[in-house]
Amino acid sequence: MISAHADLVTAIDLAERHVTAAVDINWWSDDADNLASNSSFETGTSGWTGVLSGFTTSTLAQSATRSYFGTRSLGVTWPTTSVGSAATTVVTTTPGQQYRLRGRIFVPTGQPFVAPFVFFLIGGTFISTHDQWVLSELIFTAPNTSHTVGWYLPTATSGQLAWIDDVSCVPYVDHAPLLGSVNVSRSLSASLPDIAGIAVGDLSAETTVELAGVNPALPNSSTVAQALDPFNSDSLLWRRDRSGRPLTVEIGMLTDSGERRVTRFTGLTRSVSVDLAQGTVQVTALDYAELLRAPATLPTVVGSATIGAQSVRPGLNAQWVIDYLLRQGGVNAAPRERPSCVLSATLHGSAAPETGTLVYAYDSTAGNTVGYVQGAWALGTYDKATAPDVPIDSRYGEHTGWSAQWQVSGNGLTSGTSDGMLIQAWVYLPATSVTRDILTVESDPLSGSRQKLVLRLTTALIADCYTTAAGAAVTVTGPTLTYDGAWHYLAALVSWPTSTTVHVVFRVDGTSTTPGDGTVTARTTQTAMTHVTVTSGLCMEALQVTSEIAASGGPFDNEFVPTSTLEPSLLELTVTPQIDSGAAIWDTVKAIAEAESAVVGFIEDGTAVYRNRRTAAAAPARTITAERSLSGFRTTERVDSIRNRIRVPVSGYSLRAAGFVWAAADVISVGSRATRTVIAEFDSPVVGLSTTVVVVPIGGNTTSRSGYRAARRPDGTGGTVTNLQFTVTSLGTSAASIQIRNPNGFPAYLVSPTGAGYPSTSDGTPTLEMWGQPLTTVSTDVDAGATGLANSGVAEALWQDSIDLRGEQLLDVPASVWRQNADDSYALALDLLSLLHRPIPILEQVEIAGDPTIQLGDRVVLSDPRGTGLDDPVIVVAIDETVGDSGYTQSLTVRLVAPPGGWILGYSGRSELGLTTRL
Amino acid sequence: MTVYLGPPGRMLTLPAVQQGQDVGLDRAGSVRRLLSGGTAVDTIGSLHRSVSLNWSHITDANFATLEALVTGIYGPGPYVLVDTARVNLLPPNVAAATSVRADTYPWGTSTGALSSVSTPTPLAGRRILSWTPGTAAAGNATVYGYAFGLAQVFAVPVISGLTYSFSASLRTTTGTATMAARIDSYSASGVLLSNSSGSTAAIGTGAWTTLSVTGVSPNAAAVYVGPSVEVPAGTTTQVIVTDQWLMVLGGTLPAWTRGTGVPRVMVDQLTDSYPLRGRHNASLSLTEV
Repeated sequence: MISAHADLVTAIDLAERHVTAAVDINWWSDDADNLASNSSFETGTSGWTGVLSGFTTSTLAQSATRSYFGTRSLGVTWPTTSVGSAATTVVTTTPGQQYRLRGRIFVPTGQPFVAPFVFFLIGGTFISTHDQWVLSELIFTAPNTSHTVGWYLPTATSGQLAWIDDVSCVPYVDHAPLLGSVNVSRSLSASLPDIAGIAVGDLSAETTVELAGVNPALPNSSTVAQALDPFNSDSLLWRRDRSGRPLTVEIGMLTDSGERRVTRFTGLTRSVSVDLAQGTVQVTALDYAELLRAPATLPTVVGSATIGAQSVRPGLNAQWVIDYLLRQGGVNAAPRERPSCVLSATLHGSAAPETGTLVYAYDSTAGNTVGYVQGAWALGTYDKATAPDVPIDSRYGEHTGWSAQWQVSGNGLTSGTSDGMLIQAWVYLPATSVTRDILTVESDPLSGSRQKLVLRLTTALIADCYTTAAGAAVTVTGPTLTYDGAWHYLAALVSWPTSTTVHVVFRVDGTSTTPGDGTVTARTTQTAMTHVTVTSGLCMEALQVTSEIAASGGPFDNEFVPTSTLEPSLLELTVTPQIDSGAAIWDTVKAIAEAESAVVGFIEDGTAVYRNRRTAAAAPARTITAERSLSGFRTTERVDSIRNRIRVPVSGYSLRAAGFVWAAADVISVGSRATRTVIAEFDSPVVGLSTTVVVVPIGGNTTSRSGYRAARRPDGTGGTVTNLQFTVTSLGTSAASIQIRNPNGFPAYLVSPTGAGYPSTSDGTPTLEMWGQPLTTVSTDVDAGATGLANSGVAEALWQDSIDLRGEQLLDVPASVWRQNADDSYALALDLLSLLHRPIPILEQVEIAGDPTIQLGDRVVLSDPRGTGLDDPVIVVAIDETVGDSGYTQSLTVRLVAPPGGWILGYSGRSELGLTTRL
Repeated sequence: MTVYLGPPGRMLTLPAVQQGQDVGLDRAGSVRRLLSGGTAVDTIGSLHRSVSLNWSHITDANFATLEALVTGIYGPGPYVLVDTARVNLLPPNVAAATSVRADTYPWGTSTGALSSVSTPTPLAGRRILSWTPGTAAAGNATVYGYAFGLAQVFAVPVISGLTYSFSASLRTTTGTATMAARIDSYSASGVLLSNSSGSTAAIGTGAWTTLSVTGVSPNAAAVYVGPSVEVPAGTTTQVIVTDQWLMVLGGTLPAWTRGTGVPRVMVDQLTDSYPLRGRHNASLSLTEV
């Protein structure tokens, strides 16, 4: 259910309802058409002033303390005032045109709220929420050619604060007087097409808005059809793109506390159809999945392997892949990589980083993978010692504790007087204090000269700074921590103001602490800190290390607001599989959801959600009664919807022995002082690809490295070339880019040269070969458990009683590269079997008085005990709703939780076992 | 009764309606039959009027006035309908001080915050408007019957030669205030051109006080007029409540009655028949947009 104001919840069930709907289409771009200057304050405060006639002057400054967009915002320091104070800018306007002023406002606890205003014209609504960025907007009609706009407050005490960011002022059309009807259709496209009513699949939403009539405030047009007529040069939208524009639909009621609406759709316009004869316009829009059409790219990540001498067992819950893909489309369950980020590991089901390189990772029990648990935003690493009470069915992977090491990207972090470092992560602080390192940032542990910085916990957050391997730690003690069994944002912003001081700003959630500087030994050399190491790690999520310094760095991320909500996947992967070249991000995410029968999609407010098939509301969210709301339904029970034998193929992968995974088939030439790029495409996913390319010695390459040989002529004659330079970059899981630079004043040919001592049989043979470990698909023998059957590469479950009664009804689930684990596949087979082994009626066209709080996947009770006898909990799998001449109607498709009269755990009157119980 | 119809700034006086006037209030929405046998009613948006004006034996000249409106000589519309049979020209939620919607649409203010409250006990309806002016940064703090930008949607059109009167009931729940009722003149684009204030009075926490301004001739350039109340210098602690706003044509204020607004209408149909040469039996149908 969508959270709604209490008065709206009351109004929904009234016999007489005054329904309201609003459609907002922003035909203008908040960027290209923005009339407000310097709207994100990234480059300063020019164009903005705190001086305004009749008001007390406020102090404006560019702020790095927080930002909604980019890394800067406008910080406003209020004066003591009883006549008001403001922060304003001037916009150029067309008299008579409507405009919408928008901005994000942050007001900390204890500070006065502000409101948008147009000077000497109109004031807007004061924001009413502290400690988060709040959208504040004001719509006004411009009487003049320019106006002073901004945010103001009536009274303040000197030193009180507010922040402003992401300001826009663009033309606006009020669609309210034009709205004829609005329809929102939201449904699940089941991944199993012949089985209707299963609450899994990809969630899609579409809206159709009918506009008609005249808006007296709409200039240059008499009807909305003329306003949106693409041939009307007088239209405000003349020569403007009408597709891809943000559109939201809100539906609600007039209540005792005024008009209350909730968002029912957020998306982008897809088509605009104008009927000039009828004077009507039809606008359709689709949800934000439209933004995820770009091709997906995935790195090679192995859940568990021994690569070289390292135990690389970061785990690979499919949530990590889903999150990685969504982040490519700007949809985030953890903060984006910050500027100058050198290590970013979301830890959303894998310790594989998105920036940096994983050296090793494992559970504290040798040979196991890192374990995960629900974190602050999505999955985070799990440490049993500090979070022992987490139920075992809430854990994913192994469960003891974890260690890992990453190499940062670039050349590492240095400690000069102009250098800096930010470490941040969300960490679970148990109910009682612990003494534990969070992580260490250090020079290459294998090198002799080391410096490092250790961030650790005791009763306080502490940073230990070491300048040499043998030197003593200089400890900077930060704030005392609150151990409360919850996740907290912890960060340390480190700098070295002089060669003998270390300066640390600690951040715990929303509070910064700057203790005294530490005095360190003067550094004679600054060995770059290239590695980040976690030993016996805590429960942790969204780890980032950057090289930013306070003066130019961004604000802390403790105010992060996610744009996706991800449940753990029920798929544990061996490796990121090979995906089709050009496959869209959204299609790839849907393929994962389909593989495990999950739900993925964008919900009403535009947030992306991923729900695994185990999700079900414990208690019904609402009872829909025949007395108040239910006006009809149709029930269908089909014997052909039964499936009593389920087969789920497994696409297992196996890591083969390391060796050459690719070799050039033809002679590759590189011109004099030229660079050439070759794309190597592997037959299967490859891990541990050697990016170091050495000359292949006599007898072949035995150093586990990629290699080449080269000569001056294509037939191998003319002399040996040994100084070619290579840069190897992975392109997804199954390809790599090999850039070859020839520094010589003559061409080079990648062939085995003659006369260099190599076997004559190899003379002139193309020689460029890449070293790595291939992953190949294997068939997995699966014990089919209860069925007692075994099938190679297929998990199978069957219900014999149902087969005896109705005959065998087989469901062959399509194969998927994302289902790599026999246990996961068998669990899916069992879950599907429990749903499908018997006929359960599907209730369609469940017509109810519209309820704007109902969402797909909600568990509600349909109650008509004295009429049809229906009194059952159901799960909503499709919603079609319309506000128009026929009022506010909703047509639901629902799936019964249990067969009519069947046993339902925890449902009063149906959960008691007895002689007549029907399971 | 007299009816005025036309585009704002060019209101026409229609021929005197001789054969009555039909006015229907239409509810957009539905009556839904429930499985229990009961019903549920949804109303969408506000009630919209359908108006039919009927004349008998009017002259060619008078009929020409009606025909001119239909043929678009005065522009495509929508037109504003001012029906003198309706006393209070303010929209329902303004006249009844938020009782209809329980929110502050379409009210506006120059300074401070508005809200819809139910205490003290309203004089009429279920709610009253509460205003915390806070401060008057420059000039007076004002509450307008319609927020800027909504004048074209709700404001009363200027009818040449007529005067306007306005009254409102006020009291405070915190502090005292010296206040005045005001009639504002607006341009076609909604720019405030000038205003005329009534006598000031001290408003306190005791009984309701009715402020008024009467017989105001709008600014010569005005297209619309609208009501407001002002406080010359606010303080942060004042909380002012108001109810029963009344705006009428002419210089005399009757007792408060519910507001019906001045609807924006489109001409739906004009029918004509000729009972005698030079005479017309006409019917003009209007639909509120």
